[in-house]
Amino acid sequence: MGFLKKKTGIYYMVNFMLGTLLFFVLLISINTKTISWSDTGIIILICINVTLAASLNLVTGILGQLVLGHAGFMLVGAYAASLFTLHSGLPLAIAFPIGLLLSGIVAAMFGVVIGLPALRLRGDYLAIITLGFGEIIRVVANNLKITNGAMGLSGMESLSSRRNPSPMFIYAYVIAIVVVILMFTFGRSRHGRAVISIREDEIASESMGINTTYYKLFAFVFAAFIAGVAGGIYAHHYGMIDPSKFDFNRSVEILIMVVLGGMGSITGSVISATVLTLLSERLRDFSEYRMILYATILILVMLFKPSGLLGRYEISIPKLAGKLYRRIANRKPHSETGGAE
Amino acid sequence: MHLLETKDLGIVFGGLQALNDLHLAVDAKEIVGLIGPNGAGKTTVFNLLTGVYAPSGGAIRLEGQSILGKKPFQINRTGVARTFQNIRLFKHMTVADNIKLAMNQNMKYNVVSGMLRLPSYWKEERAIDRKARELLAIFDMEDLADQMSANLPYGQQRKLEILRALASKPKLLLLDEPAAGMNPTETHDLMEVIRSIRDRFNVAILLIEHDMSLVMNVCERLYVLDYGNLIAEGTPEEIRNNDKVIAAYLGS
Repeated sequence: MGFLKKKTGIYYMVNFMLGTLLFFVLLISINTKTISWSDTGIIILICINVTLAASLNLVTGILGQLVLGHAGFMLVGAYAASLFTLHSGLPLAIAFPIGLLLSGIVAAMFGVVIGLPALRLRGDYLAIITLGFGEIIRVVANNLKITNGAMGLSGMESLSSRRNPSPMFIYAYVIAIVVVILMFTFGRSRHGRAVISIREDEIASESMGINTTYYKLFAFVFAAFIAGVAGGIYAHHYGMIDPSKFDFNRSVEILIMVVLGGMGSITGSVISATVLTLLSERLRDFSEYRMILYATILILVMLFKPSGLLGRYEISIPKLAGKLYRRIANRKPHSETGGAE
Repeated sequence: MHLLETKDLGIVFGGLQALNDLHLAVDAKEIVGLIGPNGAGKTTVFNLLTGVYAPSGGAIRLEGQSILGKKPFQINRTGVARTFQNIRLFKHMTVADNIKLAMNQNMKYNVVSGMLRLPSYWKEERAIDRKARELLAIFDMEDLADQMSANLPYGQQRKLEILRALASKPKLLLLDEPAAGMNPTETHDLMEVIRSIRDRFNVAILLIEHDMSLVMNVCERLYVLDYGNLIAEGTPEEIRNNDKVIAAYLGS
């Protein structure tokens, strides 16, 4: 498919309009209480997970480096935003966005510290070091005074209330969709090309003039920033956080969303994050079996479609519709010629 | 001043002297061959020249400037591009993207314009898309621009790798066994291609090759390595009749 074809532009527009349409449908349903208070919570959680999965996909799918501690960045972001809104004394409507920005920046700073030593080397050192980071940061949060130890922080107010249930949803949805769009456009810019080339062949990439350390670090820190922001929303959505919420299982959960959807496919991450979040919410009563189900699904996908549900392909609704239309339109003349024979 | 010059270049792997006191010079627009039996250290020379290995001793100068201690990507930016013995394309990127990647170093728009698709993004992306297709046209491959490079037949993968190297605008092109796996007709075509590339892009070419018909026909000068030592240098005619070279290849 050609670059910069007119059709592609139209597809982008239609996809964007569909995203906007979905936003307003959900917004109106939430405001008119067609969607219940608890279901709104699930939708917000879906948005958070989409954000997390899309950001992890940048590192694991597009850059091709395994990260086993994404929840660690989420934790850092969640605590940064919570501490800010709890202690700043600013009204929540102002403190919340600043807190989110802060959570991203703090998580990104941790990303630089973690990523710089690991990403200077070729190979899978990032998996080990992020695994260590995720555990260490949890233990640290468990023991510091400022994080209130194992009790965690509580009392963060949500922007939403039963009377006005939508603001939190607006934040979560807009951030999720902006992140998805940015991941998509990043993957198709010269910087994204450089990052993909590192996944494909690091040695060749470096010998073609790509500063691999820089691009690897950039992708990783960018993902950490987004994970931090997602953590900030998460903290204010639930109103209370403690370190156990951001353990290794959480990291694996995000990783499963990425692997299941297809490493390198942003739309795949969106779909699998949505499905898996819904699934785990619906299976709340059987929560002890949830991990068994996850594992089973993962094994089945790895057996039958090792590249994940979508592989590296992106789903585009208008493109899909176009294909379907052409198939139906082509069927008629085709059967006629078949009859003539 | 030579375009590329090495002095006393050597590298030791563990206890093995893989390359010893190599003196090598390549002038602008020259086609030079580097030959020798298997394991002589030819690819090691390429890896030293492109910064993949750090030499144990000696000097490498490009246009008089030392490139020792520079990273591979920095050396590429100073004007040395290479291909690989075992093809290293970006398999799951399109043919055009493979070439655009090499042009990255000459592009300017920043991350924000890339992500927000600001005008500078469109301007530069359009320009390099055109350039990439022009480059592909050299090998009549413009129709394949949007294919995944993994789907290309072997011969075209080799050609694409050469084009990708050229896209980074090198002054010196290093070709590591460009004819490997090609049949005689393809090899013959390749000779023409190598000459035309030199004329068209004004690059010097240093190539490693085992196919003697290609080496003797295309190269203007040859260096012969054996067990890490330079055993001969000269024109193809001189090398053909050099006793040391014959002994190295056939055994004495």
